[in-house]
Amino acid sequence: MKRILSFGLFLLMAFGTHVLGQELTITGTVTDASDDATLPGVTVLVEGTTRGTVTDVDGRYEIRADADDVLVFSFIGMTTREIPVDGRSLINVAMEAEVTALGEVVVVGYGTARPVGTVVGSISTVGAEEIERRPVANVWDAMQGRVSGLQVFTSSGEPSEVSSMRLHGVGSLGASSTPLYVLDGAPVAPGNILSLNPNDIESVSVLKDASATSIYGARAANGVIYITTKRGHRDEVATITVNTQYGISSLANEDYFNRFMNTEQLTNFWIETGYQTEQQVENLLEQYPHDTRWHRYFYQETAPTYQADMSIQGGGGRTTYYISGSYFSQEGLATMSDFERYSVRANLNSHANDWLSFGANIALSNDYRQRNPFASNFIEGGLSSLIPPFYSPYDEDGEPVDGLMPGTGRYDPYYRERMFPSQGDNIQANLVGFVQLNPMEGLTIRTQAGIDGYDYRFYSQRLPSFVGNLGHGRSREYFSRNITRNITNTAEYRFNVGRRHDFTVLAGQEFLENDFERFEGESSGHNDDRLMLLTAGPEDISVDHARTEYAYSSFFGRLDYALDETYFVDFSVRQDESSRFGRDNRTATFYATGVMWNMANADFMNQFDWISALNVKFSIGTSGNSEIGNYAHLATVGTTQYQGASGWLISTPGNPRLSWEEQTKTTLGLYGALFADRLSFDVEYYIRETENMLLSVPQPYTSGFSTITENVGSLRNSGIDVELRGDVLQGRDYFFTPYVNFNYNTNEVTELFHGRDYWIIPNTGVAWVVGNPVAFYYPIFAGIDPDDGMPMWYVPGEDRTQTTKEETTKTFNTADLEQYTGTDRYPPFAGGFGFNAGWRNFRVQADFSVVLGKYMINNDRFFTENPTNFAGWNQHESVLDYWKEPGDVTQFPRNDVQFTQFDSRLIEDASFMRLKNLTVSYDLPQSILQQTGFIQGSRIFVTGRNLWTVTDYLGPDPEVDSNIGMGTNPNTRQVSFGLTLTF
Amino acid sequence: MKKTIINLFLVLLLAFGFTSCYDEYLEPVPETALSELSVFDTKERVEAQVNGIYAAFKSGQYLGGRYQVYNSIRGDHFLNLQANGVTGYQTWQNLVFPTTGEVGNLWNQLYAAVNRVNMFIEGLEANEEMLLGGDILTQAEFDQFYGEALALRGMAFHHVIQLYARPYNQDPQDWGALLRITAQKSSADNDMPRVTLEETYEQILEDLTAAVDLLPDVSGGNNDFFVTRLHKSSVIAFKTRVYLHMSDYASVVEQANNIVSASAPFEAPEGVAYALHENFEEIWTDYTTSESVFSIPMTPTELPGTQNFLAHYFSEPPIGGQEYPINQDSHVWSSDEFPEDDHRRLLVRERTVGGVDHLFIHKYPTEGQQDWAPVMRYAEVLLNLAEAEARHNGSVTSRALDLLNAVFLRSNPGADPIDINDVEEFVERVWLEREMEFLAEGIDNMDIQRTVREFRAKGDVDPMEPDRTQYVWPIPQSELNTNNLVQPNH
Repeated sequence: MKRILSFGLFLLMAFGTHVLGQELTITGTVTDASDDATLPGVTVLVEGTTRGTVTDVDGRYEIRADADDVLVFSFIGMTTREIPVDGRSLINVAMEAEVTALGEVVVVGYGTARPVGTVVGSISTVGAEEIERRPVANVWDAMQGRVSGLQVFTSSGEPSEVSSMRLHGVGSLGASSTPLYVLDGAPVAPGNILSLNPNDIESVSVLKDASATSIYGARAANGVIYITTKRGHRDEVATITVNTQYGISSLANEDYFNRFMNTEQLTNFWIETGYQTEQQVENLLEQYPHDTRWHRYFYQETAPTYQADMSIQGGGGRTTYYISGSYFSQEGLATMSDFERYSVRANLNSHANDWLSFGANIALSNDYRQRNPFASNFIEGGLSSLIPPFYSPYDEDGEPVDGLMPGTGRYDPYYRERMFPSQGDNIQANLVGFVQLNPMEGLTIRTQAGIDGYDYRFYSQRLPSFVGNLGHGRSREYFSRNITRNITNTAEYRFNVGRRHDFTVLAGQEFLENDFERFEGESSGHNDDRLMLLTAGPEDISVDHARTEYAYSSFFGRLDYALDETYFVDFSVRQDESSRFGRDNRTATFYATGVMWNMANADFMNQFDWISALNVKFSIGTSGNSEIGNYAHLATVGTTQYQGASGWLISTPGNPRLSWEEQTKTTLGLYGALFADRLSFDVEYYIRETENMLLSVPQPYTSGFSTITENVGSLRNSGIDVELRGDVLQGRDYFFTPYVNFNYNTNEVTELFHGRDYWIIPNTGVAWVVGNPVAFYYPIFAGIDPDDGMPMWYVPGEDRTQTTKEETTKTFNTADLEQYTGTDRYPPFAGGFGFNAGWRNFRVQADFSVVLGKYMINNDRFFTENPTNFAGWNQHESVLDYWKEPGDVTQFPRNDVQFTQFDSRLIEDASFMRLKNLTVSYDLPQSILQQTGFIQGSRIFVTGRNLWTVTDYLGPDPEVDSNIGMGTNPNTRQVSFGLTLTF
Repeated sequence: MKKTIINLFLVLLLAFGFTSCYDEYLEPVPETALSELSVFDTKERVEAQVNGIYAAFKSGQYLGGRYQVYNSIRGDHFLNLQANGVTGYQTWQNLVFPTTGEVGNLWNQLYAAVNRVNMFIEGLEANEEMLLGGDILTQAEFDQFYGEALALRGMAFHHVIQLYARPYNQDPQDWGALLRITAQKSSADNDMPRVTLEETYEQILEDLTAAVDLLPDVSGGNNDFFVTRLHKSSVIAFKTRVYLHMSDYASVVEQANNIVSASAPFEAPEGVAYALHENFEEIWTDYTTSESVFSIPMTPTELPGTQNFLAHYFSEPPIGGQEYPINQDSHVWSSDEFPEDDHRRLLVRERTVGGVDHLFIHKYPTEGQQDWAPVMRYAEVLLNLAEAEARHNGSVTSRALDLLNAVFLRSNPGADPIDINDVEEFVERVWLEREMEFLAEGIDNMDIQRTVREFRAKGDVDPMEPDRTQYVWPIPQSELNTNNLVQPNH
């Protein structure tokens, strides 16, 4: 249906109007300025019309235009030139190679955009080309490996997964490490990215250092991700872009699933270990003679992804517009796993007169999302391959069953999907409007207001026809609403003194307020599938209602100064107040300062003519983290009941002194371009020190509370960011621009609570140790004793922070045995590499991401290599290597002892390299398009995601961003075909 | 230009206009939770806090179910069918560690309840002038709430040493409870050592005695309020248990005489009109008979929770989860002195599980988690007194015999009365009677501990002598991790 709709629009545009005028014929030759060679294939357009042509093999063109028209010459990799006709009939043009392909301007917090190279702050920008048209709803996935220092993980193959992000390591042990997301100037929740049509994004900027982020104050400690959506330009011809794309997903890696035993292996193992007799197995196989690879049943072999969007972009004399609509739908491979999204956006700006402009960005989206509820430790989900292979999901006739799969005692997943309908339905609105005054040269006064809100409802049901609870259905409805209102007033004044001194002064104020409310109802006892409203269930009726709010009120300012466009200094300050903190500790002030020296302008640099740009930067400043619960500072009184009467209880102890977590970041950077900009590099060293960390400090239970949130402890991250980009090959009809970037980060806990040297977080295997990175503390496995087949573990020494491997024990007890395992929780190295290449009308873009030193507890193996604990279930083939008689050197112990414990064996290297993206596209030649008369551009492309993964991790997916991997619905491999047309 | 200035002015006005109304947003008042500052403003609020304290004791992890379960399954009365670590399997096996779930969960909930008492008492004291001067509470109400809080705290400290400390009768100088008697609101007092058992009992008696003095006089027949809230009579009843555990028999007799008549038929001469209820089975569906001293009430909107309620452990489906059937080889069930037609022996349901015929006790027969959880019955007061009478007097008095027979004959009408003259033999018979009477009510472990007996064998679990480490639970790992001064058990 949607495809038909898109095609209809396409046809509509095909019969669009043609503008005609008084014309003369213009001819000429287009050459490459660097070598005077003629350039074929250059697009020549009459500005403001759809009329155009391309140069022939000799670089010649001929076009009809009015005497006062302007001709636009464009060619990939060359700077577009606009040349007025001025009544001439012969116009020869020399085109120059484009210096910077993207990011000609950079965003600065609250200010107007600045030209590249004039901003002290450290900002990395990813352009639309690098993230658009990916077969995934969550655009952050495409950011993986693109920005040095930014770690991005997509933890599952759920179509509605939102990637997690961390800039320069984990910044806090208690509060969140998620950056602040700002969409067109207004802060938004991280999950909002799912509601955004990726093709609406113009650029994503990552604000890294204190100079760039401190002006965001109390929420900037984890960096700022600034998303800018597309807009039209003044006097731009309306361009219509239609994009449609279809793809399929499949499991990215089946190794984990293929390690399970087949029927023969499993039943032999059972006989061998005495779990079943030969006779029992024979009887069993007579009844269940199959050999099922269960993951092929629980995960579909392929699932479709479809997306289509259309946008119109342009502008007249005073008004510019960008309007788009999109549709996205993706099925997950698991059952009950889908995502479908509709979105519209209108970005309108008007320059009403020379001192007043205003605009609004209006975006609305509606999506339907469903996540497999049987993830992790459910046989129906993540552990489905534990079902013995001799069973089959089908009945005697080879048909799927409506109920329990024969013999297994488990329901058919597709039956379950039908019997347990559930879905989330989200409506997201994001509105940003502004009024801007320019009362005098250099002065900009702006008021901007934004509303970011969603209305999310969710239902889940158990139909009365479900055979497990026949005639007794259940229904649950959940409604929630979250609104963030935000208003920002700023005044910025740019002036220049004596032509050498450039000043920009900014002052502003911001207020933000959030309201969240949810309502939930449940009932059961429904007796008809058609009557599933809450009111139709007479039993177990319950409701739940909650509401929270928070607010920030802030003032901020910044001074930028530049001398001779060579020496730059900036200074920013921000004061924040928030409801999240105690009254006495509510106000905090943050500062930052930065300096930059543009060395290329210095006289002595003339002798190094191979250096085309060289900037040295230094910045230092503070910012805060306030990402904790809304009422953590209050001792709140909850309600309860006793014997039908209402009861009150102090539910949280409160901490009136609770305040911000404070961070100081110091950054030293060097940016340069060499060999006529053929090679550019950006290297930064940073130190990030977190103090007064917001930690949930564990309390003895005898205090009556398990934790109290306090400002204690400190943490230090330091590391280096490196980005390299080269225009290695740059020719008339080909180019090759490889890039590589990486970050190496080390984190170190520098202080803990109550003077402790270390703290092992119970039941996680993770410990905070002063003077060390956050690390895994687990019992260390010492092998199987060949004499008696018993597993052994090393006895920790007096100091658990040192790995001690001297004495062994055969008694397992986590609390007695956990010690430093030598593996760290957070990966120190992350990066990416790839290239952009083109030859004639072909383009190839390849992006690899690499994460090294990532470790994770593979909890799946506790289930798949533990026949003693999970007798009767299928296991990995590896369990066949167990101890049978004295002298055997084996991986697993004797079969009357638990095979696998939660010990160092499960901590695996989950480092990985992924071919995150490979896109090949072909632009139909202009000569063909010209014949259509109205199509300006046409691109056919194939894009692949996660085509290739290299990892040693034995679980389903190494990309999970957690200390534990268990029952993950793994990331998918996708291949997608698409077509983009512009008119 | 003039227009420009006007506009500039408008923008600035807008900016400051918004600023002025920000302050109220910065002081949000949570609607799901109230600030602690306002909780002593009215009588209703003070009383709501008292209810909140009871609700903490009522938690399914504590008196709402699991406390009675753990104290019932350590001995030999029950078998375990599910081998489920979440529902006490390790406790049943006498194989628990500091990291075992129930060891931490009960400790957590019990001390959360204690801290709730402490915060309430601290608030009551701090606001005394306002409460009494402002006519928010009468002196009687003030004393009652204070007394209830103290009584609950004394009870909690007694509960904690039943599982987490070695028996007082083995060595009163061994480590007892962690005595948290001030409100904990920060990490300041995290490190705190345990006191001795002797000191623990001093605190328990101080709390209970102060409570008896504060609590108002009560009288009349038993009712919902008397069963679900503590009062003078029920606290005295609880004191008989405390003194019995200390082997202070004179005090048991002294206390019990307040609420037990001198001769049969035994009933309370003053206070709430306690007496044995004639029909044993009815006690388990009518929760406010004259026999109920203190029970945890259940209503459809305040349930103890799945895998916490007593029926889950001891009853068969659909009422319960058939976790713990009666061990028919146990000392009590196989005893010749437990008559075949004893009403208590007949209060069972048969159920075949995995091809084996089992008996499930039928004390918790209500579906939907709604059986009230018993904490103390009048029958226990009578048996406490019977044992103390005999020990205190050094001979089996006729009152002692009558007390034992009152309980025995209630379930065996027409049987010959018990007649034993030897004190030791008599006391052993009282112990056996207690096993018959209080099956699945959480008394068994307490009796084993106070008499320093061995845990008898059951199923494939070996017997355990009192000198073993597993004889009592360990201090939970979470406490060992965060409290640098706490002494582990040995």
